[in-house]
Amino acid sequence: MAMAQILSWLRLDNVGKIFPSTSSKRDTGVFRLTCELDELVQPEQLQEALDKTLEQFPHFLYIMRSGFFWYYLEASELRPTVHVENKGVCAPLFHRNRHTLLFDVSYYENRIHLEVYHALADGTGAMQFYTCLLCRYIAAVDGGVDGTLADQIAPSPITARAEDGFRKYYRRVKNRHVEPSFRAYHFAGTKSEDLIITEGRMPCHEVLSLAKAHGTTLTVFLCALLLFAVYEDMQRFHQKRPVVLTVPVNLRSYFPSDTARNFFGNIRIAYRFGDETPTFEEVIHALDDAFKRELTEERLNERISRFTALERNPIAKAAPLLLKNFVLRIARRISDAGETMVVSNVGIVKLPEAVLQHVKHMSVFTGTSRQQICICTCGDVLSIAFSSKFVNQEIQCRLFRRLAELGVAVEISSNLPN
Amino acid sequence: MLYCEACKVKIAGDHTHCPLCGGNVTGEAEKKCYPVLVPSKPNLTKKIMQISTIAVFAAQIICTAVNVLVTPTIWWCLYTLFGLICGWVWLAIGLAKKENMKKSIAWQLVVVSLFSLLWDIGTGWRGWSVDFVFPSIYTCALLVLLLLARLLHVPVRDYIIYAGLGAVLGIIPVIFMATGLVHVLIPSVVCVSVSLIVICTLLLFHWKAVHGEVMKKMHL
Repeated sequence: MAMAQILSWLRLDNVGKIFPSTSSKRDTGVFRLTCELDELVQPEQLQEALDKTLEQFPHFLYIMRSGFFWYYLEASELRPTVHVENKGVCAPLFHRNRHTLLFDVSYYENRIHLEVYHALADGTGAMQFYTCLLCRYIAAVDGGVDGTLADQIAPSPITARAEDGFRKYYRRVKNRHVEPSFRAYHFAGTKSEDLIITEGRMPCHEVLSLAKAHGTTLTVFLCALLLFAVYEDMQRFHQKRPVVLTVPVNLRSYFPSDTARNFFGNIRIAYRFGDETPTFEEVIHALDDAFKRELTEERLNERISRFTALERNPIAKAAPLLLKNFVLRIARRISDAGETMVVSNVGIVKLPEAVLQHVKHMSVFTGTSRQQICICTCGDVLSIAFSSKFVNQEIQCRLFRRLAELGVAVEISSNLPN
Repeated sequence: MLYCEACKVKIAGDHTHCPLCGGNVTGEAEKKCYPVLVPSKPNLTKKIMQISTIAVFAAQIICTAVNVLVTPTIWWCLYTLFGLICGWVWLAIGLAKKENMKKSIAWQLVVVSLFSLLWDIGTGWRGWSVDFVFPSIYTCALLVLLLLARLLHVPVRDYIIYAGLGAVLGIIPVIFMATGLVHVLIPSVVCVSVSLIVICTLLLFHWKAVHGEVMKKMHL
């Protein structure tokens, strides 16, 4: 009985609670961060870098356990081993009846992948871990690089990394806005068993100058292009249905927190096309307005408060986990019915110059049962990655062709086998 | 680097057709961006479930047919139906929870006690479920759990909740004895005694672990 009598544990944060109840083989709730380096990956150095990084992110070693009322994270003795990529992109990491780590580091040729289960961390949180891992790896491989560069980019105290941002910033706020419910446009078509990744990489400055020429931000510009790509693919019959984009917003920019766990909120941007084809400027203008309306501290606070209040409701709390799983699955289905697709912009990834030299590009992919886009910028390379279960690649084709027409040098990377 | 003339995009990796439009590509292929994956092994559990489901269907249809033809007055095929359903559910739960031994034992316990209760009621209450089945499976489950935990060197905190739960359930025969449902006392008395001993041992020697685990599992 020399082992600890009680293991340290963490409650799941507000967003994290959804994932173990609603994940499945079809919708794994896993996302992947990946980068391509300038030479082949060396496994021993990668393992060493991983072990060192985990010392600074101890909560990544926690596993999922089920309580009577909620799932929770608990420390474990499991340790990760880096391995060659041998499974499909975003393969399941959470299994209900097995104790497994909720993240995985693998490599293939020049690429290093980090896959994380969403209950453990969000894109920004996982990116903190990933950039530390990269810095340590590059330092191990290239002797001229300082290993402690990782600390310079993420100087937060270790305890702050496991903080629950939702709990920290929750205060009861009266909901002044009523969320309109949409019968959103949905993609249809044959689905494949495996996730299809279609990624386009391009010089970021070219797209930024295009966005500036239209007087808007990169995200709005790309959303507008995406809306047109979807519109051109819609059947005329469906054109009256609004195209609804769910955009996850990193709440750390509005409510300061160093947490490496989940701290994001989703905003919904809808656009109804109607009978006449709008001009590009009209769409950009409408999107700009919608974003400005939603991206205020007040609106985001209302969202945090609404979902945290649900979690704190005594009746909801007292329901046994089995019942919660059932209800959450239905709630998720209803929520999914109100959106067309998710557009996730992880933003600019900051790496120290010495490390950036070795990194060709970085990308983010998420597992989904439908279609999702993840946008990521590293150095001057903008990566727009579609992850889709649909065999039909029309939307991807239209979007990237449009960008190429506008003069952007696009490079496509896909995991289709042919 | 490959190039697609129709889409006007470069294509990384090794493709024979453009991943966007399916058209032809020109240029030199490079190293693949994604590994070629070995197809995953067929799921054995799924196969077993499919075979057993078909077997159950077939068996029931045959029994019903024989019943209708040979002894149309007594509907014994209803008993076979219920029995087959019980067996199928037991197998399904056993396979679903096969990776987690403790959960498997707990579910088996619930399933077997429930089914034996239903059978007892369905066959004209003779009380054999509360007399023999309940106490024996509770005691067995508890002892099996503790034995396996010892043999597999599982740390105390991992099985403490299940042991505690099993022991608490083992007290239930007291209620049956008090309400006069039980006619054969020995199995129930043995069950209650064993459960009480386990509870006392847990509380005395592992109070901290019990308290910690209960706090974790029952947090709101």
